[in-house]
Amino acid sequence: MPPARGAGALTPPSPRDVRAAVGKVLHLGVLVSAGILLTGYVVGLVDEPKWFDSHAAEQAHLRARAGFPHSFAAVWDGIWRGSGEAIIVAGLLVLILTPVAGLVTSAVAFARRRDRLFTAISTSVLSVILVSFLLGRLLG
Amino acid sequence: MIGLTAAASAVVYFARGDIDPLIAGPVAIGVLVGATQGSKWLAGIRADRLRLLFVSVLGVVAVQMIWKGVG
Repeated sequence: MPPARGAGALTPPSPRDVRAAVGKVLHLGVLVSAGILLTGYVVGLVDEPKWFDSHAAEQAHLRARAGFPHSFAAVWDGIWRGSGEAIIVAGLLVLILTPVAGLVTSAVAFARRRDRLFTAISTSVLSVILVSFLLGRLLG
Repeated sequence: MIGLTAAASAVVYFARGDIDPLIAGPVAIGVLVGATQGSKWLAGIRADRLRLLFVSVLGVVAVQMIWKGVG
């Protein structure tokens, strides 16, 4: 998404444009993730109704920790297999990555405003998140 | 709905397989609906009614937890 809709390509976005663009990205991310989550839940209800109607079945499923899709590849595969669980995880991933997308949007917008300080701040926050993700994968 | 600091750690939990979709899914849906509608209603709601509602919800949750703990 371009940081400043409405403003011309050559004029740098105003602070208000930046806020509006970030707001739009966050709003869109939340809506998309809510849609995916609901879809996943409905698919899961149809697919594996036993998880939802018995407390024991749910507890047994919770104990089988290996069952949760926990890599992007596994989630992707699960979606195509029509697994409600994988679709729910995809919705959660969209929700988790929404603020990151907002951060990327503001970094791009600040860069277009030639605002060095804020570009550097957003980029460094972004790299902290990236490092924590990579460390989590390596150590996890 | 989810802060940047939370996003940084949530991705780690995901990579470790600690996010259970059956628990996190309903929680996320509830938070999304509650946060969007709640922020809309907050401006027009009376504080004393909100307090009453909050206390009754907490009361129900407390009774539920005691019930589960005892039973």
